[in-house]
Amino acid sequence: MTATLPETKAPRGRLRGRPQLYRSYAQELALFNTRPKQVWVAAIIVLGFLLPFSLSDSLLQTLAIGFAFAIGALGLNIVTGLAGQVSLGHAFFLGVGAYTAAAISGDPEGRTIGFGITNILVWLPAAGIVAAIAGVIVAPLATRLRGLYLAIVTLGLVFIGEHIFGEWSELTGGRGVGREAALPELFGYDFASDSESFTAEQNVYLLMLVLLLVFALGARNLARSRVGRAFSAVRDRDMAAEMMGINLPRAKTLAFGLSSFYAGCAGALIYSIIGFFEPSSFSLLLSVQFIAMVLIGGAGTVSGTIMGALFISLLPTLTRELPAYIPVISSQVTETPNVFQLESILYGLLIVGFLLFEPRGLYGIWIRIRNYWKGWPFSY
Amino acid sequence: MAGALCAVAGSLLAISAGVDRRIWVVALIALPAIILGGLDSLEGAVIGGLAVGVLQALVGSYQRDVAPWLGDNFAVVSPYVLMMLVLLAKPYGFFGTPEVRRV
Repeated sequence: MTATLPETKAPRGRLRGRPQLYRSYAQELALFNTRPKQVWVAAIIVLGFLLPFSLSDSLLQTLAIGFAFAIGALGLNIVTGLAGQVSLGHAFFLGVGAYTAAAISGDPEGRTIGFGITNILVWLPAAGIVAAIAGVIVAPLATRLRGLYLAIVTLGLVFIGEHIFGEWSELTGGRGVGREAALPELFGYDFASDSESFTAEQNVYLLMLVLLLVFALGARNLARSRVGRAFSAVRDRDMAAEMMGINLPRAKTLAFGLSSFYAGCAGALIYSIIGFFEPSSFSLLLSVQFIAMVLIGGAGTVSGTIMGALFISLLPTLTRELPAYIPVISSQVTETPNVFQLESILYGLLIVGFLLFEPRGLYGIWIRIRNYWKGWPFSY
Repeated sequence: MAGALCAVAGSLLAISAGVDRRIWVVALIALPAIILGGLDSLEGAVIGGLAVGVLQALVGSYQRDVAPWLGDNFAVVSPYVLMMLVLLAKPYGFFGTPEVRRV
């Protein structure tokens, strides 16, 4: 009799009640590596698809813009959260994407450049690709610089971009004038106008939700791939990463290119919801907003970034409600303690507060809550 | 120290240009100036600041005749363009000390 060899294949199932135990490498790297994660993600997606039937149209539009912002924040998360390269130039890439899309879908007979191709399957990838090319062009600077130098160079990029957008009035309509944005249309179905079964806001909301899902899955998949792990290595210690055989310039260039691709798509989408935009939209403030989203949400995580983006885009809606409860704060721009001042103060306070007290962002708060209940009723 | 020097610079600027609430944009021009010279170098900061100031003045007065295709007010962004060109050649600015990389 010969002894049978034990099964060499890695076991596939997970042990109940042992969420930290991975029995094979593939298991740990899986897209949704635990059962509760699968269930919750599915539940949130279902909830997302049910929301348009119960919320008001104005709130839906705010949410749709929030989703589009989340796509852009995911892009910044790739370069800043994953690859660790500080970029203040996100607004520039957003602008490149928005103008590419607007030019492709614009009216050929109109005041500004337009090619009249309104299909979203054409202008969305085109916006992303043109922005990615811009990102790759900037990358030689990024690969040679680190830390503060890089931050200031990308800051310069925003100013140069603002200048170009302001001056090139055949494309952008010029300062203070602006032009119409890309039209969200798919094979003759116009998302921006009411159809028989949905209102325009419901249409746009659903479109943005689907696109956000696609982009978020892409970002999550990137993070767990070879490229994503290379990015994390570069973030943690670029020299150690280089020693391990990671091509540093290539990784950084790729990070900038991918991040710009996301930014370009987000730019095209955000303004296709709003419908009209002008060159001064792409200022330093927009970049800072994106940084706030990534930092408040939790740098390096996809779910945290989406939370942060939604949080920041819903913040104005929340503060607008405040004057009803606190009589000192006025809703008029002319009176001094007004909502808009409060809003900008809140941005600053939130960034500083999160960096001081919870550097891992909203995602970190979630981790703390989870760990608390995991050990409950013991403290650890 | 930084605050005090900034206040001096601010009041000098206000004498020549007048104050309004958008004045903070000017402070950002100081960034290309120190980056040009190198972040950790005092003489670099002085030379960088002078270079940026002179460049802005030159571009402001001659660019309209020499290169009108660059658009109005190109002087405002010219320091950033200069900064990018310099950093492509010298990643630590003119007088900055290159970072020692140790394993």
